[in-house]
Amino acid sequence: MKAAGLGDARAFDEIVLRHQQAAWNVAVRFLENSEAASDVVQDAFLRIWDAASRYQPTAQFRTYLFRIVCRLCIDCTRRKKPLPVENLPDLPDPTPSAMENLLLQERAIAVRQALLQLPDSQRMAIIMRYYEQCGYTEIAEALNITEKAAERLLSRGRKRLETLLIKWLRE
Amino acid sequence: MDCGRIQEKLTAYADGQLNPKERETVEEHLRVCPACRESALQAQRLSNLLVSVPALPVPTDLTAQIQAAVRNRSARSKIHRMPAIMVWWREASVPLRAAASFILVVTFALGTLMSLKITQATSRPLEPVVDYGLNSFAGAPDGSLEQAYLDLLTTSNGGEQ
Repeated sequence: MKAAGLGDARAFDEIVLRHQQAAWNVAVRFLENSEAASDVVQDAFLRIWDAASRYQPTAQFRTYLFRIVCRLCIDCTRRKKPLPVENLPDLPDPTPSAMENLLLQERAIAVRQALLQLPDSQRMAIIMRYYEQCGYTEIAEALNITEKAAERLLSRGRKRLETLLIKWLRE
Repeated sequence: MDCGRIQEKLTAYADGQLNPKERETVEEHLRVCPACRESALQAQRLSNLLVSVPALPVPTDLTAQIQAAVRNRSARSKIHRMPAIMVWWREASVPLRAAASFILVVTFALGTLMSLKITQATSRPLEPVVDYGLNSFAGAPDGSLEQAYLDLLTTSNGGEQ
């Protein structure tokens, strides 16, 4: 980031390559729309580039990136309605059985739809925790809340998901 | 600890975010309480269900899009086009910056002082002094030492006419 702060675009390319997957995962799981997720990720990296000369490494870079991605995702959902889950492309699935494949797809759609029914902050906390393995501290920093509040968000989110996904939890 | 308190801790327990003491308390309770044990299992099932949904692959052109946008922004940005001296200044340590500042100030001060001296030296009114000196010899009789000295000063070839 130091080199990027001095205008070294190649050094910044390295940062993009290293962290774009995590940023993309959070954005696409939150927005459930590939195009909007791409816009958010690009916008996030541009903002980081613009502010690179003022960057202070007070936290992990990933946390800094998530903070920006979270804010942009939440802004995005406030501006426009997300596309329905069914519009997403098929999931890559290595299983040979067509029935199993169908079941996995159905389950994935159910989980995505359930996540979409959560309030923004609960959804983001769940995504960061279970898909990016963020600790409570990192979630709290990204969402600009206390650790206790992050724990409460996760707890409420999980309770709601247990209700929404009861069918899949019994199987 | 009662079931209500334990239930509150089950999310953090399932997430592995409890400290060792809290974890031990929860596990102790789970050993004797079937209802809370079932809740803990349900929490684990939910975690497994959530993580079973794979991530979508990053679009192949995303990296190129970001890099192009960054370069485009960079070309327009003045922030990232700092002169080399500013880049050096930003990179230098505090003692180095202090030393550089000191050298700069001392150099500037010496330069100013020297230029003042030169100005004073070159702007001294030499002509009146010379006139005064020459005038003081004006009344000297021909053949006197004063007249010879005056001749020596006023001729360019060392006194020979």
